Order: sequence, then structure tokens, then C-alpha cells
Amino acid sequence: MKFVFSGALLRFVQFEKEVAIDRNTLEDCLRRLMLKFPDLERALLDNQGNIRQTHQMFLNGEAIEKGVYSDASARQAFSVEDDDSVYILTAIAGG
Amino acid sequence: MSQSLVKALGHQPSPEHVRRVVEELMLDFFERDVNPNSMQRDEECVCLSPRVFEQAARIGLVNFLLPAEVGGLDGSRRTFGLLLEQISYYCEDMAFPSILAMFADIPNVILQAGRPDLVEEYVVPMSQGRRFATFAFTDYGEPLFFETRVRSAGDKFLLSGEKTLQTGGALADTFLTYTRDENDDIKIFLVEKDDPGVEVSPVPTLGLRSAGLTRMVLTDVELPSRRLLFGSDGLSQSQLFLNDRRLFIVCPFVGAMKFILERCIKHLNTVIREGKPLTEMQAVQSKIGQMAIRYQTARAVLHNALDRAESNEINPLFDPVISAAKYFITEQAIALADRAVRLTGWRGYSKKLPFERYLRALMAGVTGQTAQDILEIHLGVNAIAEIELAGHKRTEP
Ligand SMILES: Cc1cc2nc3c(=O)[nH]c(=O)nc-3n(C[C@H](O)[C@H](O)[C@H](O)COP(=O)(O)OP(=O)(O)OC[C@H]3O[C@@H](n4cnc5c(N)ncnc54)[C@H](O)[C@@H]3O)c2cc1C
Repeated sequence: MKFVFSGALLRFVQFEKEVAIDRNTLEDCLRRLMLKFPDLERALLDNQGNIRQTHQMFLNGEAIEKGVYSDASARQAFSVEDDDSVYILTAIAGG
Repeated sequence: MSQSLVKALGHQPSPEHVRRVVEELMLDFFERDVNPNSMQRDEECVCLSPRVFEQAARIGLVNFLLPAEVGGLDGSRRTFGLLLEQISYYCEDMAFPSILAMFADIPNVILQAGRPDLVEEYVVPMSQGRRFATFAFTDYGEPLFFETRVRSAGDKFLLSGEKTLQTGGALADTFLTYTRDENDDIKIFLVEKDDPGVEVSPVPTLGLRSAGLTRMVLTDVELPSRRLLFGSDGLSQSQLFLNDRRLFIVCPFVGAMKFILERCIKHLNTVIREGKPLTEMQAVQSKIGQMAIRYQTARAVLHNALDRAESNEINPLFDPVISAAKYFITEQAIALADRAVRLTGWRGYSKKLPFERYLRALMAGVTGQTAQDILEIHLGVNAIAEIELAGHKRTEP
């Protein structure tokens, strides 16, 4: 599968818009991705290991329900195929 | 008295109905408590008095958005936005609706924590205008790298840093404070102005000088764990709050636009050049026409966005329609006030007329509730993402 980044997270993946990862679950793919880009973890996850709500996630162009990807066990149960794309859109605004 | 506001407004009132309600129920209050000395407050950077907000609470403006079980009026965000628009038209100090929007909204965030102790201690007194809270988010670092830090110390927390600008901070006793923890996550605390190590001081600004804008310095402020409102993902909480609120900053702008337009026409009627009032000259009529177009379009955009804010179409994290409305209305309002200054000669440039004061106040929209330049970027990224996402969709075989 591949991750596609848009917005504020790009700088944490060295501005690589698309990153291909060869694993079978969303959690394994994310772990692999964060090994490649160690700075990403703190921007992506909160201190409970959940994906921060502010990142909007899409599987093959369709929004993914938060419950399906926020915590690690849900992500482990989330299978991904070779030709899947997970798009992460992040807008962080000031007050 | 607050029940009369609910009764007078009814369910889903039209903008014109809201105008009549504000005129009937609030005009005396503005003329007695808000309008006197508005120019002097601006000149001397003096914040509106707390009495004004106590009275606003009695009318039902401060508890309008809160649920009935904590003493609120269960009012809708759309109606509140329409109220802010009309309040700004009728009262001569834009700081009033600006602070009001803050004081009426923050208790909802505290409520979201679902803690009965905090409802009792903060939300209920806030709904009655006995306590006020503001939003201490901005600091010298950007949100992912806030310089205001928190560390655990046994069962307590130690906060240090500086929050740079808070609306209504001079009147607030509580600051919803965003801090970065050891894991770079954001924790939100209720900081009180009297907590040891807290220093709140005024910040002189271009406009909105009676809005009690402050900075807050925290020096090893020790807080018990009950003051921790959200222990993780405060960043997302802030984005949900800001998205929802982004419209509230520009509701008063639209009311102010109408005030400026009318006041400008009245003034131009009195200025005789080449033997006739300026309003009879076509070049001036055309400029007034441009101002009217800015006002009418801004108002239409606002009302559309207020309707959307209540629909289930809204994206709760970053809604492009709401953000575009904030952006558009701000630009229209500034251009309209700028035109009023240009049309009114030395009087417009001086304190003889209120237009320079309004122009300075409206400039708040350039930076406040997300800077315009940043909104442009987010809206661009969002529009590009929509197209990219469509390209990622699977087509049925
Ligand atoms: C009247 C008023 C009331 C306010 N009230 C509050 C309040 O109650 N609570 C609170 O917490 N804050 C408040 N603020 C602060 C406000 O939210 C911030 O000023 C705003 O979010 C912008 O942040 P900043 O000032 O740090 O700007 P900066 O981040 O320093 O940005 C300044 C400019 O730099 C450029 N820029 C910055 N980043 C980028 C980028 N990534 N890409 C391209 N260009 C960029 C843009 O032109 C931007 O406008 C208030 C501000 C005003 C004016």
C-alpha cells in the first residue's frame, strides 16, 4: 500500500508526497513508516498512541471512520492490500 | 430576563426577526452601558467594564449557547451568530461582541470534558456572568511546537511559558491554556489569573483596544490534576473549537459594515461640494454602490455559512465553507471601512468620525481566528486534496 500526505505532515516525511510500504495491516504499515521517518510519530500520534483526530484519513479516496484507525488494536485489525492508498490530510490552524 | 430573549427569538428566527429582537430588548442596554465613552476607551486602551458582561448574562447572551441542564438557553450557533451581527450594528464598540463571542463559547469546551466538578466550579458561574474564561492558545511557537511547556511533578503539573494574546483576558479569571508535554502532545489546563506564578498584562494593539487583549506569562505554575481539562490530543480539540468559532469573529464585522455604510451616507449627505451634496455626485454614488455590494455579499456569505454550521454537511475539523466565509467577510469589511475613510476626507482620517476606529478594529480579522494568509494555504491544500482524493477512488469493475 502507499501513504499519501497533504498539508502539515509533509515536513515530517521529508516532503515525500507518496510513500509505499509493504505490510498487511494499517498498524504494521504505520510502524514501518515511523521507523523510516522517526519525527513523524510525535506529530501523528497523541500520548496514548492514538492517531490525533486532527489528521483526516481516507482509504482509496473515501473517509475512514475514526474508530477504525485511532487506536493501535483497531489499526492492527485493519487489513490493507497492495494497491490501497491511505491519504492523510492535515490542516493545523492558529487561534 | 434571559427567558424573554428565548421567547422573543422563537425557533430558527429570520435575520430580520433577530434584528427586531435586538432592537427591542438590547438597545437601552447598549445606550446605557456600552456606547458611552466608546471612543475614549479606544483612545486610552481601557477595557469594557465587567458590569457590561454581567448585564449581558442577565439578558441571556452569555449563557445562550449552553445546554439548559447547566443553566443555559440551548440556543443555536446560527441564531447566536445572527445576534452577534445585529449587536455589532447597534452597539458602538466592536469589542463587546468580540469578547461576548469568547465568553459565551468557552464554557462549552469545559463542558465537553464531562466532569461534574468542573461544571459546578466553572460552567455554572460562567453561565451566570460571575466568572469569565478566555482562550490561551497562541504562543511564540507554532501549535505542534508550542513553547509553553508542562511537566508532571508527582500528582501535580508545572507549567511554564508565555501565551501571547488573549481576547478579553483583562476580564477573564480563567484561561483555557494549551501546553506541550514531554511527548509533544498538547494538554489543556484551566489556569486562573490568581494562581501563583501567573502574570497577566495588557497588550496595546492597533484596534479593538477595549477588548482587554492580554498576554499571560507562566513561571513554574503548579496546578493540581483536577485543573487538567484534556490530558491528550489537545491539538485536535483546539482545531474543532476554532473551526466552529471561525465564523463568530466575522458576524460582528457584517453588522459593523452596515453601520459604516449608513453612517458614511448620512455624513456625505451633509458635505456640499460644487453646490450639491456629495451623495448626488455619480462618482461618489458608484463608490457607495461598491460599499453596498461588499456589505450585501458579505452578509449573504455569512448567512449561508451560519446555516451550514448547523447542518451535517460541516467538516468539524476544517470546514472550507466556514473558513472561506471568514476570509471573504474580513476582506470585504476592511475594504468597505477603507472606502469610508477615503470618502470622508480629514474627518474620516480623524476621530471626528468613527471610521478610522472601525478600520483598525476590522484589521483584527487579518490575523485573529487564523491569519488570512494561512487560510489561503489551507483552502488551497483542501481544494487540491479533493481532486487528488477523487483520483484515488476505486472505480467499480
Ligand atoms: C484581535 C486578535 C485577537 C486574538 N485573540 C486570541 C485569543 O483570544 N487567543 C489566542 O490564543 N490567540 C489570539 N489571537 C492570536 C491569533 O490567533 C494569532 O495571531 C494567529 O493565529 C496567527 O498566529 P501568529 O500571530 O503567531 O502568526 P505567525 O505564525 O507569526 O504568522 C504571521 C504571518 O506569517 C506568515 N506565515 C506564518 N506561517 C506560515 C506558513 N506556514 N506558510 C506561509 N506563511 C506563513 C503569514 O503571512 C502569517 O500571517 C488573537 C489575534 C488578534 C489579532
